[in-house]
Amino acid sequence: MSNDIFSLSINEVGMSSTHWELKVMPGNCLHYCPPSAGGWGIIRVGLLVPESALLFVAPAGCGRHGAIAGIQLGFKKRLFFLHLTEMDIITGEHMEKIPRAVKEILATVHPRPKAFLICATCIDDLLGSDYDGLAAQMEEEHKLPVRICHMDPIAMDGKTPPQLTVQEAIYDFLKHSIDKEKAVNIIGSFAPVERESELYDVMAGAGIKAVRHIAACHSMEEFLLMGSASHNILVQPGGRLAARMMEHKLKVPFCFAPAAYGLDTINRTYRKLEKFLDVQLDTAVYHREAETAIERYRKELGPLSVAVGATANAMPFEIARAMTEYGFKVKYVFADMILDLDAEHVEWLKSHAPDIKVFTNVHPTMVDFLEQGMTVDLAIGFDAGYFCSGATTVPLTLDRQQYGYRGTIALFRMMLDALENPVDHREQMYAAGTVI
Amino acid sequence: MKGLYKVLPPFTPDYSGVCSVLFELGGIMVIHDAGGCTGNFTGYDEPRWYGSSSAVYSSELREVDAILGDDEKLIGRIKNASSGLNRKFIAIIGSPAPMVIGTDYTALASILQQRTGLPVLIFDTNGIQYYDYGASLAFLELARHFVRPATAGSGNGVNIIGASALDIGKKALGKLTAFLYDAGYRVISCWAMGATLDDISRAAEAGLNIVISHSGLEAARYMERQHGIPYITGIPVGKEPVYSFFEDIRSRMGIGESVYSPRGNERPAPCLYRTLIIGEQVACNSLRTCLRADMGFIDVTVASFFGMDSAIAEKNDCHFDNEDDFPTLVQEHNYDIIIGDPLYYELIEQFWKGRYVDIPHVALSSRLYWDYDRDYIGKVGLAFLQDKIFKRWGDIDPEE
Repeated sequence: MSNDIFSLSINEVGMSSTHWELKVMPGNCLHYCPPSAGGWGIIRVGLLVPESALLFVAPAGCGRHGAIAGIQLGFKKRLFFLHLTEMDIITGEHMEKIPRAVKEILATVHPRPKAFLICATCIDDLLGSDYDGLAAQMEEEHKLPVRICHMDPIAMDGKTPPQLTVQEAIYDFLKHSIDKEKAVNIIGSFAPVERESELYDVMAGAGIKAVRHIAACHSMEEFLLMGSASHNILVQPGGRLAARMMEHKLKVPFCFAPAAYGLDTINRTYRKLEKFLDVQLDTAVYHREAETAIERYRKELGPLSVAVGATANAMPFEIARAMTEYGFKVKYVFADMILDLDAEHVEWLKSHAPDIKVFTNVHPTMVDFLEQGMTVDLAIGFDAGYFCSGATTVPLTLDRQQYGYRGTIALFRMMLDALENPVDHREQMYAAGTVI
Repeated sequence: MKGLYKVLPPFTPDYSGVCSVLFELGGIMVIHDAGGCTGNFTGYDEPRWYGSSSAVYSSELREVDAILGDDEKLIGRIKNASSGLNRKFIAIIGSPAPMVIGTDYTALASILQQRTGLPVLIFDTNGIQYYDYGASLAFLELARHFVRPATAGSGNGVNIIGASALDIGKKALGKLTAFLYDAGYRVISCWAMGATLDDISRAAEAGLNIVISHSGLEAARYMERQHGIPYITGIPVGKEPVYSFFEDIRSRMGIGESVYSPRGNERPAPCLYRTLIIGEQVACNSLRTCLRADMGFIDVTVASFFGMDSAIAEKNDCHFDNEDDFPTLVQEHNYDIIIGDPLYYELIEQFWKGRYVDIPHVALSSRLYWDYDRDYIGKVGLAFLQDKIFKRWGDIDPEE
């Protein structure tokens, strides 16, 4: 088995015109969960809502990873657990316990939360528990907004997977505003676009008064201002249900303009945004700045072999293409899903880098991957760094959202920094507190 | 409120306990879940996961499969994996969702055994119980499925039962094993760290089982009933307890050497500090033995959120059912010293002013401290406790 790791040549990576998403792995396989797997998790995303608290209602085991990550990363104080018993599940009694738990939390936690999330799990999906009715009851009783989110991976292959519905839930706290201001919300990402990005100056130059993001809001009051924005820019596909909900409920249209690392792709993204916002975005100077910086960094970095992973805060095939365009040798891509937006980049790679091998983190044969001894000089993403042991890893995590031309410059800076100041991969990865 | 946890993170669940026990034994472990439970185990309950080639998988249960009861998909996935991977057994481990839909594990095992030719272990775990329950099931299943009747005893052979990375670190386990070898014993199998399935299959050759965690008790009792092998419980922490521990083994086995010399008539001065130890029962009992025998402590209580066996518990020992039980007990008894995982401290820090001794327990604090691999065996454990309890604290330390 050790010599038979599942992989595809880039030329074998197919696209489907009928699916939004396509799994790399063939069906009928158990799923492997490598140490490098994981992201922010439902709980952490839910607690992006400023001044909120979250009650997780589940068998004890379900919330463990979220709680430990919460201690590691500092959000545990706003996170509470109601452990279900077998009797609760049989009788549905937990639905009666939830109001008591919420009441006790609100009575004992200081300062009092200004918003409340109740998180249900797979078993309530199967039981058909009525959480929406419960939320309405809680709102009425405690005079504070209550929303329901779900950590239900059992719904992962359906139309409402948890990583999408949780974003829908957090933005559902926003209220419709008739008085729209010329401002944009960045949605889909868990971190605001880095302040060094030219996006802020470009938007200001076009008359956009504010660029807001939930994680940059320090209070519920500030967060609610996002409801009065004129436009939403969706920078990660995981926010698409939220974007549609906001379009419908708040009358805020959205444009999908994902972060990219190739200069031509970035340029096309800005032109798309120009049409969407009906403004002119002056980006030429930043394009030139990036070209100059990249040239300098390429000389410093020299020739490098690269692997790209699915856990990186990027579209793996887009960043693989960008790295190839910049002159690096991309050997491996670790990707679990292929989205429609990957199509053009996959096609480009077929012509320009046909030697790329594509692996999927979750195939059962990956358990023996390390025996292959595959390595590269530089790995982008924790998964690529794990599987190509010995490589220097640029984590490029979801904790920081790069965007635009300066996002690419930042990536090059991170690559150089990683090579000059190598960090232990295991420590780096566990410190990130990622969860499945 | 019962069931509401405002401070502590959830403890390691039962399915992780099973996986932890089977981790090194070369099987295919399938957690029947939607993915999150597997991620819980691999990311937060298994310190050995990074870099390992242990075949732990998720069945990736989905709503449609659960509603339609499509077990054939699960069977097909496991069969595919088993035909490609060269492994010795299959284990199917339950999680909350299959509990709700009433998965028939016995039928699954029967079908898979026929189709793969491999032994199939099943664990009806549900994520509601804690790790010790799952680990206990797993140790028992190892005893039932794999231990062969002995054709001849090995004379000096012993087994260690109850070793799980959730309870004991490599350093302590390595030291215990080294002590046993130094005393003239041969460790036939250590369930289940550092042993193979073949080692465990020869476990009935041993003359004694040494149970080092509560989770190992049921398997040891089964071995006693089926194979006539007696057992002792405990981890030799301290100086005098090590001597007593090995004397106990020597008297039962009829062979072996002493480890450390006896104390003679000298006794430690009485220490009146009221002490509470929280954690896994056998480990806590062993710490208590050290506090009493080596340091003269009199009033020591053991408490646990996990399973406690009445046969090895003392009258005042207690089980916590809820998070609030711990601060309530502390308020009632005014302890001077509490020994336990660092995360328990937050529950009492607002009102309690005694000395807290941190001994991390992976089943609570997970990766926060799992690299803190300390050797507590023998005099090292005594030195650690003396240092933590008495250093810069006052009037009892004989060194000051």
